[in-house]
Amino acid sequence: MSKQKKYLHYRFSEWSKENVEPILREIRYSLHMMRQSPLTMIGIGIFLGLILVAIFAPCIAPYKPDEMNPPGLLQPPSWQHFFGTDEGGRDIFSRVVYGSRISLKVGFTITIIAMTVGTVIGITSGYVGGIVDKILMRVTDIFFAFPYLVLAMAITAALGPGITNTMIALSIVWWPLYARIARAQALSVRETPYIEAIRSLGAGKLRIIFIHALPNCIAPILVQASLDVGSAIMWCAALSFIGLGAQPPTPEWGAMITMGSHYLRESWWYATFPGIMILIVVLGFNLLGDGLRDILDPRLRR
Amino acid sequence: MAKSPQRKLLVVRNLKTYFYTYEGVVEALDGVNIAIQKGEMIGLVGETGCGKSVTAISILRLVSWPPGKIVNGQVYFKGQDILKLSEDDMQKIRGNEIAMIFQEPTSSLNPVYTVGHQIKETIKLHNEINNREARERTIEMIEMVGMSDPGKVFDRYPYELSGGMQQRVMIAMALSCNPDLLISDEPTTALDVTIQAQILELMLELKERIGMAILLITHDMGVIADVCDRVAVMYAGVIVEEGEIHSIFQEPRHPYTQGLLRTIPKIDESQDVLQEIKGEVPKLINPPAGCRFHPRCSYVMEICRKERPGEYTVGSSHSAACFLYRQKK
Repeated sequence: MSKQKKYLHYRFSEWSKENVEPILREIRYSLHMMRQSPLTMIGIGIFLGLILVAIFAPCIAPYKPDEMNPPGLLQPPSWQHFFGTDEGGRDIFSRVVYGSRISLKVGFTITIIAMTVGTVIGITSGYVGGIVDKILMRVTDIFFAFPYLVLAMAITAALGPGITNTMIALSIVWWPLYARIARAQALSVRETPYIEAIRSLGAGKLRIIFIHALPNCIAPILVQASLDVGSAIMWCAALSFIGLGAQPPTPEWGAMITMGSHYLRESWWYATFPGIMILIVVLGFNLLGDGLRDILDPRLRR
Repeated sequence: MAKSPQRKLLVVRNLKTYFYTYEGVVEALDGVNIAIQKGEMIGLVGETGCGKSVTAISILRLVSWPPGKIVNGQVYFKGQDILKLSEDDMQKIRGNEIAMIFQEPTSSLNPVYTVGHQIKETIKLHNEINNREARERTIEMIEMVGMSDPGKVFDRYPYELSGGMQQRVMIAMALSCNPDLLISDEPTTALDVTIQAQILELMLELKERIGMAILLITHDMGVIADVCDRVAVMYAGVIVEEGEIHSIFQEPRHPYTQGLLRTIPKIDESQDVLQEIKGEVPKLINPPAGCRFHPRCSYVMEICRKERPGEYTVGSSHSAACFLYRQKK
């Protein structure tokens, strides 16, 4: 057997039945924990609902999101247009449905980038300590010294308005939060006897940080992340609202609220429905995050 | 290495570990000398805070800076000064040739992995071995430390096991690469008495089977008397007396050892008041000059207050660091 093949064989053998069994056991137990908490189930329901809506947007939306219909502008909600129409006669319901795609993309991209960068920096900082810790933490302090939103606005403005630049800007201002959480976790995990034990058995620094410290630090980070998907969607909407994020024809919820605010007095439905969507989605991610915290806490398990 | 005798597995010479804290320098180890022969079980006994555990982590070079630092001394392992090795080479020794088990088995196992995974990881760290073989080795190890149904234990998480079983897992992890020296830092303190006896028995049995040496750290004289060949008594960062187990228990020479043995309540005498050693353990920031025991010693002489006693032979393989025995040299 060639070396390559042999390697493949080993990889495959790791997925033998006895290796998968404890993982399945854990998953089943997690599902059981979820069912115990109705609020978590609501959070999960909203989350899954949002994903389904995003995937099946073309089937759900009765109209195209940018289909103009000048005669039927600013119509109140009716059976033809559930959420009414906007100043171009576009169906707000369809636009809200398509907007879920943008919101999901924005929420997850920002959170994943911020979480990955922040966690790696934070854990390294906390575990290694000394001068590395000092430098990395002063850098995060600099980020914390700015008001988040102002810094994000400045970066977006510098890069030019647009949804991609908004995501870049929010990722840049967001990672220090994760760096702090990860560092605090790493500091406490570093002192635990099991880290000393694995050191005494000859594990190297990288192995300790990423294989032994990381899984023990990850629970609060994941909880923060699940809460932050909602916040990221909200902030992105906020930046769009002040005209820095998604530009008007894009069916982004924040941008729709901006446009709707001009007509708020006579057409309440224009800004209200995208606003309610933001509310529901952010609430859903908060409930999900709270539930995850309980499920992932090893101290509460069994 | 002409100076370090070949038969000795580990020779610690004049080891000094200091901790630099806000209040001052804590001289946790101040010239520790100890020698361990191949295949023997040596006890290291002393009261809380006298530096037993620091000795252990200094030998493995696990003292973390800041605040701790090994400032002086040599640790010869198989004739090689391991304090001079690179961190990479040291990692190859840890777990592979010198392994360690800890006081609290519950917190010494990583809560997010199954115990089998953790033993397997140690095996894979030190051996070029594929997953299936490592798994077989792990199951052998679990069986060796006396747990029934090793296949089932393999998939258990640490919290699913009792303290005694967790300590068995720790022992399995430590012994998985056949080390020549096992340092056990109060391995039975957190366990109840019957389990204590079982674990000690297991360690003795495995010592015979693998042929390793064990450095047993404890504050329990009874445990030492039960299982050790030799014993070293530690006080305030120095070894004050070292010798064969019978020699020490029957004829303790150092005033501290004498006091320590007196404090053990006797089962056949009725005592109203428990014996004590007068005075208190010195602070290791600015410890007493000269012999560190002199403020509490009832045989104190002028020289004790000024000079540090050397180690004086008081019998065949029995030595005490006390000026009382200087003439008998």
